[in-house]
Amino acid sequence: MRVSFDWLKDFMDGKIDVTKTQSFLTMTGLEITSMADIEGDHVMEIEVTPNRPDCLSILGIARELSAASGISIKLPDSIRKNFMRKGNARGGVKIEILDKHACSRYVGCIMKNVKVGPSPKWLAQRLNAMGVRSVNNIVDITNYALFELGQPLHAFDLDKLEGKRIIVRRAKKGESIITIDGITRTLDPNVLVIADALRPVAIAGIMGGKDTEITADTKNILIESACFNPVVIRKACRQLGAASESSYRFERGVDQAMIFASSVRAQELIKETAGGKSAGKMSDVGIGIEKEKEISLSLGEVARILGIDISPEKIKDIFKKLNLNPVRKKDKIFVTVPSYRQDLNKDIDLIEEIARFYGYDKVPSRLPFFTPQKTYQLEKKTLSLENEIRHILCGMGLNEIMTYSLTSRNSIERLGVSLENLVSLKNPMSSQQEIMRPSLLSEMLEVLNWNLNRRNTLLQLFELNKVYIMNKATGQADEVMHLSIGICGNKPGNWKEKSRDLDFFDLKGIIEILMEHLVARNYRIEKTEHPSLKENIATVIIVNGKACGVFGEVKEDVARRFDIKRKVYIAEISLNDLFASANLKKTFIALPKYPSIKRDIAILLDDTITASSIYDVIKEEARELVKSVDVFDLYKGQQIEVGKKSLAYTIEYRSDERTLNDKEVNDIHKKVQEALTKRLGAQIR
Amino acid sequence: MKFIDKLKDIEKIAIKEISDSSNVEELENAKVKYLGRKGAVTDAIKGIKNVPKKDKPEAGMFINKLKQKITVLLEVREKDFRSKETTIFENNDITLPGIKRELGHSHPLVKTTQEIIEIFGKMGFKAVESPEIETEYYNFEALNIPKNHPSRETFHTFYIENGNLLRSQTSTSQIRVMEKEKPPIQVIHAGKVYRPDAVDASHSFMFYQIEGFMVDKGIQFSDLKGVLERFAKEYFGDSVKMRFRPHFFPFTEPSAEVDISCFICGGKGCRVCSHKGWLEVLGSGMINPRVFEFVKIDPAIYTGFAFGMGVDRICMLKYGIDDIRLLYENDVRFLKQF
Repeated sequence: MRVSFDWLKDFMDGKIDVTKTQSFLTMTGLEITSMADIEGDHVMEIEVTPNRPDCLSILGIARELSAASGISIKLPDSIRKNFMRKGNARGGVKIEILDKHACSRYVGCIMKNVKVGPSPKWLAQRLNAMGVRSVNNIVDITNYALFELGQPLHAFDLDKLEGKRIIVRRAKKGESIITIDGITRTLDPNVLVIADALRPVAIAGIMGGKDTEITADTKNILIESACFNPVVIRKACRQLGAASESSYRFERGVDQAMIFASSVRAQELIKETAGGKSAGKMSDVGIGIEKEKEISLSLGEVARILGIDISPEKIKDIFKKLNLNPVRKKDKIFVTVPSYRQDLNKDIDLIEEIARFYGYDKVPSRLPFFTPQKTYQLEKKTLSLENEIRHILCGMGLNEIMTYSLTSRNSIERLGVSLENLVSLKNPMSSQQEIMRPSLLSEMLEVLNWNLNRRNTLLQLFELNKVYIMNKATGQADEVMHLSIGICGNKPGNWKEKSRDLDFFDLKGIIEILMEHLVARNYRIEKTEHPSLKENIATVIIVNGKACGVFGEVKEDVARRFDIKRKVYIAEISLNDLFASANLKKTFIALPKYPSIKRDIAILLDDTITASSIYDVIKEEARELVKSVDVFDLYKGQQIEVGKKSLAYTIEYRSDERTLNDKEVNDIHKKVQEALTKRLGAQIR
Repeated sequence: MKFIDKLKDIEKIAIKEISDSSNVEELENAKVKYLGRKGAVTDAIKGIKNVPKKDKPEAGMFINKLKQKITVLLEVREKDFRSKETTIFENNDITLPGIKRELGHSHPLVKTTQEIIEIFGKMGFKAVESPEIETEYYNFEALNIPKNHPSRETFHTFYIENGNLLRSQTSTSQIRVMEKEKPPIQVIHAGKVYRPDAVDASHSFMFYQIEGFMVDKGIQFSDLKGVLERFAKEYFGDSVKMRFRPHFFPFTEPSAEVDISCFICGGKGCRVCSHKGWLEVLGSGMINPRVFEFVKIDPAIYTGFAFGMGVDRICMLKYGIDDIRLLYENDVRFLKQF
């Protein structure tokens, strides 16, 4: 809330400068977020937390400043004398409250022969500082009193009130009102209204009606000072889409003790600026002022919570400054809570008050003694594995991305994946963020596109993040950790090597290194089908018999839907199954004792024969003597028959029991050659 | 065949082989083949004793010359190869750029999270998991934010269609953990939170938070101060000052907002700290006894503190990033800087 420093000073019975004020308020919990100079006045923007509606007024801020600075508070007589006062129900105006739950109290007062006109300069200036434009002297005074005391007031043109009476009731279905902002609002029984004998004349606690507003011709007025139920007001605000300085305060709760006094204060100021006379007694209908509550605090609790011994005298002193009337009985302090401190209910609330005014900075720091637990059931056990994946991928030159979990339905459609079991938002801000994503791939493609558009040509990216799937069985959304990888573009050349485009085998290599590190040999790769991936090169990763991820080249039409014209290769792996099989506890395997011997072999065979079937033949023939099989050349084209390919392998032979001699290796290598010829029709070259 | 003719054959083959060799390795093989312990020339020297006496001087001389010839030839060829290597290095121009491999970078938000968790980890805090999709109970009620209470106003929230919601703060983890674990508890939790805020340079509808809390007998406000001061010094540097300001959070009491002295200007005031000299970095407080009641921990026996911080904000402060959107755009020119 905005606070004029000039106005605040009116309430301080002693000198204080703006810098000190700023520091006192900030360090006791009223943070000053900004400061402006308006017509020579320092206007502070103060963050008032929702537990402190009493600070939504100059008086409230002054009370805090007084407690922090020790400077006592100075109140106008009209307030001091009428604080805590409850008047008589019978007065100059007839008031009826039909819903006592929604309106606990209504004070009405009539003033006659006022002169409506422009406000004096001081009044207009103060309101201007508070960010409110001046309307006329009467309306301005009601606003002035609201800012000064926190009690919203409303002035009606008395002569326009049918029957010159007030009824506080629920609106009837179909009733409507034109509010002072000129908007016609249709009402229903959810909305509390102030009505005259015929119709609603104001929406209670939110806004007055146009028909009965103060105009230049107004002579006689009715001033309303009331208390409305916060929940009723909040619901009406939401329903009507209306809010005001008044509703803001009613929603948070106003001070019972100030309802009568505020009206008196307004009358005093109106007489001063617009003339007129209060006519008849004030009518004060509704419940009386609640008895002030008492709370006790055991002195030992202060040290137990704060970690510092504060003397009972110091504590009493703080409570006194807060008008809590402390009384010490043995090791307890009893306090009486003023009506405006609805936030003080328990001993912990009092401990906070002590801490605030003793000074957080005076509480010493210490490092606690930790008692480690053996285990926590909710410990994030997958953390180290996630970090391992990160290290491996970053080590291979991939950059990590982080994208939003909320996506559009359209994004998922573009990906071509299932629209079933989506977790969708009930109140999205836009269709761009209406679904909790079921896959990381659409954001990966978006990021690839973003970078391609900015001419970032070598893209090797990954993301470790959650996806969200509605579990039909439980009716709850599952959150599953996924890994996505996306590569695309051109690996630039240098003075030694030529540039080349990244392709499927670059991605496959990344996946293989990752899987070999995480699950060793417990995985295999097979062809599959996937709505986003090109046929024939869509690949599934199977770990211990369970499919846990896919990779391949993105279909051209899918890529184009993401505005990508290049070839892109993506992978998505669910980490849950991978976590179950992953083993980061490495066991040392003894280094080979005997040397290995390498033999090259070049074969010509049908193009349809896969590398893995060639591998299988070699492996079956030479069994445990084969330690590695590497493809070092693949050739198709001129000099080779159509439909054939030439492959060159280096095979490494080694025995774990002895040194193989030339003859043994030659024999086994010959057997391998024969098997390739016989079983795969390979020609040895 | 005469001995001398045999030698001439060896010479012919050796010269051809050495001349045809295409690398140092082949040259080495040829050297072994002719001059080695079992090499052809060595064999010939051994065989000279069987040559008729009159032919011996001629044969001896020839062998010596052959040996010399091969040696010289080998040297010449080797020099050839070596000088070729020199030309690859462009006359030893070491100023040519090195052949670089790509280095991958983890995301600055991840780095920030890891660094923070590591610091608290060293102080004994264990990382835990907690869901993002939550119920009203965990996000509000059990955190002492009742329905229709003004304190709920500050928590705008996304709801999903089954009535659950996307948590608006990681404090939900307090309830999740305290329901399951008995004190002493000291855990840290990092994760996403969601709030319906329009995206601009400093706002996002999704961001990351880190929540930490500790519950045991005898935990005091001074412990909160000690732990957070230790964190600030480790993360932001030894010279950083800290300030605890009273604030309100429904789930802690007393509550404090924590500022650090601006590490850009050293507290003098600059653009980053809006000329205040202080940067707000986290919210904290003593766990409200009401919260303990919800999770059935006796507040008369146990006390605890809790704190929460925005990872995005700390990351931006630490690296001097002035727009939160950069974190989620993932431009590789941005990512490669961290």
